[in-house]
Amino acid sequence: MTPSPLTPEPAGAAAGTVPEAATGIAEGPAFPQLSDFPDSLSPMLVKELRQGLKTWIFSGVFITLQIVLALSLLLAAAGGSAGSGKFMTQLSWIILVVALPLRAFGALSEEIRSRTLDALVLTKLSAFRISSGKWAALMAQSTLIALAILPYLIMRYFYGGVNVFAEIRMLLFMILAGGLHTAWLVCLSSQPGFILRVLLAAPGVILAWISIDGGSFLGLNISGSGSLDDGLSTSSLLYFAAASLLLTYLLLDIGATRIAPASANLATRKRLITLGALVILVVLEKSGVSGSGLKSFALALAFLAGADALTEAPATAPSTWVPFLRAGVPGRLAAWLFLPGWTTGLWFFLLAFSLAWFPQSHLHPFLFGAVVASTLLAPAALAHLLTREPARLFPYLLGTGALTVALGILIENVKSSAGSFMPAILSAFTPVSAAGCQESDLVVQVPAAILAGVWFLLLLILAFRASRATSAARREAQALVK
Amino acid sequence: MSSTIDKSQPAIHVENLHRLFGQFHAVRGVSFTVPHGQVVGFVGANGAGKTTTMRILATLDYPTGGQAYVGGYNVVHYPAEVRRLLGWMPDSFGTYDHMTVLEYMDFYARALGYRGEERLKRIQEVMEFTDLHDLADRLINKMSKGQGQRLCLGRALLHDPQILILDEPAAGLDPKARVELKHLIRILASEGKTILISSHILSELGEMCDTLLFIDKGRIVHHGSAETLKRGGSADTIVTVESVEPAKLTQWALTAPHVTILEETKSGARLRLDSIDPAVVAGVLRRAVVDGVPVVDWHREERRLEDAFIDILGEIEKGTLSTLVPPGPPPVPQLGTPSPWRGELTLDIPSVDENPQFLKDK
Repeated sequence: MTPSPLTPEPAGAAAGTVPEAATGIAEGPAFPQLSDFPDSLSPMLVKELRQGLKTWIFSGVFITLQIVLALSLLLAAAGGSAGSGKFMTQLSWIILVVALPLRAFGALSEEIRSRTLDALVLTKLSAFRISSGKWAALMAQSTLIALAILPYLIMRYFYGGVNVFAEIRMLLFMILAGGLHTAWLVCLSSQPGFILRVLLAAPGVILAWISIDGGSFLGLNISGSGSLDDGLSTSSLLYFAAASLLLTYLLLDIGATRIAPASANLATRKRLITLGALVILVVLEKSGVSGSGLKSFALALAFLAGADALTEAPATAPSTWVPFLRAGVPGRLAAWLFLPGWTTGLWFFLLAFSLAWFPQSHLHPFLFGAVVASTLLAPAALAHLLTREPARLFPYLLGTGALTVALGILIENVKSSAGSFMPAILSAFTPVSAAGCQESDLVVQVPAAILAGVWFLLLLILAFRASRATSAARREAQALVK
Repeated sequence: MSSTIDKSQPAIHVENLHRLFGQFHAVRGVSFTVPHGQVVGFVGANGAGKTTTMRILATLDYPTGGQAYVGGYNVVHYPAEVRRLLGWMPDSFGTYDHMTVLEYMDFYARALGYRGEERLKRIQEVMEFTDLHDLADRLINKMSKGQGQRLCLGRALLHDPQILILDEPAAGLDPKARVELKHLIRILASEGKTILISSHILSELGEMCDTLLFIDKGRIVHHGSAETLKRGGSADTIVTVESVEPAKLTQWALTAPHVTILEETKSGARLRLDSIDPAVVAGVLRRAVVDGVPVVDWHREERRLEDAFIDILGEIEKGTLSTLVPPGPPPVPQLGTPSPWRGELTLDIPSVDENPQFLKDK
């Protein structure tokens, strides 16, 4: 490398190239150097932090929050207002769980739009390091703000009625919930369609907003002083931490899958971890640990991983095949489940939902299959019939699946039935609601089994057709392995 | 972190490359080879397939058929190795908000695996080479187009790649920035780097490049040097001569060896010399002077590259000139080894220098 040919050369320097040794640290004015972040940090995290800390959103929120919290504390000190504590907690919730995560809305789509993703792909950064780096930077900023809130929460202790440890648990809970919300938005940001992203992001924002009292869906309540009632025990927090961290990982990996080059294999790790988590949940359920949280989590995990698996682009890069083929017969068998692409994703989907059924074993398996077929398999089959670009189907599948579930819940609430969960499409296809039949009746089970089977079969046929696109890659990989 | 490259393999080798986007056949059987240390211009209209070809070489896209190798590595099977060897500069420079030039370079240096002092030193070297050291604290979204292109080039050079793929680096630049960029590219070429560069400004490519690749509708239509193209593939040289005594010039030309008069002009004549050998051309001029012809101007006629390109396209349109690779269905990719043609290299695409029938006299 030579010094700049665009500026005049120093006296005595030869024109043209200059030996490498002479191009080291030049004498003269000190060259500006950056050493604000250690090398051990992810490059993406460093970049995002440098950018994020300069934004007016971060500094604006930080300063405004300080002012509001200080005023609130002064009011509490002056009048002993019990309501100010709750206000502070709710404000913290809005900032950490609702507002700050919204900055992730364009995290990956901005890279796509400004065409900077190509340059990133050519570095040593993997797609997952890109998505996780963006998430980590946003979370680092959220944590900075949470740390700024902490002194005010603790100072309320001196005005009485506050359990400091409950406050800290609450703050941790907010950070975790904010992290999950941020990961959801980072995942969605891999989709180029703005309106679609808004539509899918909206339920998350609404859910975060209506949970302003500290996550009522977990059975938590905030007292008038702002501290938690006994709802959020340490064990509950740990359970939530484990669940949210797993979902966060999954969401970030799903987002990364959408921006990764064809030669990258993110599916294997993602599917192995999902199956591992589902097995643990089954074991917990069989060990007597039960509860709506476990059931919901198993379903959410299978739903998310299933929707992703059904919409992955088929493995057209030989490099993704090679490790499986090198492993011989076990590898070839594993490829049916773990090779990237929705053609193998279908088998993974089947296994994941089979595992997810165990915690819901109160439902007849045929009925459970019909529910799954209605919410995911049917929209997936229709979508694959209409397009050859599976990667674009993920948000569509999430949307239709979520809509079906929401309709199902709505119908169940309207019917005021205490019975099993029955999505709308299933209600339309089976006479269960009209005839008032029991789940054990054949008249319910047979149509349900047929419904599930038909959609699965249709997808299987489509997957067989799509797998032809991967045959060339497989042949090339086989040649490489030989 | 300087990348090492196997010089026994060509820097770039593309073999019957195809790329389909749905029903649109963007690249149709493109083949070419770029030896080490050459600067090759890649020329074509918008949508001709040059960016797609370059993106495939840069491992950013995927061929539907055919093979592409960079430094002996198949771009599909060994993308990581290919990325280590090449620097990629896209046609549009994506910027980041709230980021300075130095932060940008620091980010990419970290992302490429540079650590500690090595990173600082490398950033400094590249920023000095691209003359960005004075702009270190400038926000990148406040930079001019020329500065942005220099930054983009600097980013592509950070890991000291031996092969550079530059897609329209001069597009939208003002003349000064264009000259600066051209200067940088010349220096990189003089350092032995292999450069594949696309541009619409053919005259600049002609000055910079050892050979030119013309692509149209996904097919290579010309592969040869700018000199050959300017001469139009002819075995003759046309010169315009001006003399203070035009009659004496004409008289001399009638008897001089290698010379035929094409037309007499007001101040001289247009002559055809029956050779393109510079020694012969110089010899004829010397003889004219020795024979007492008062020559005041001796100018070898050349076609402008733009004209040559348009002529080629026109002849393909009329069917009087075929593309270098006949169109055909995209082949099923086949692969045996990472680089099946290791060792002796056979050029499968004839250059126009070897096959002058591809071009005709104007």
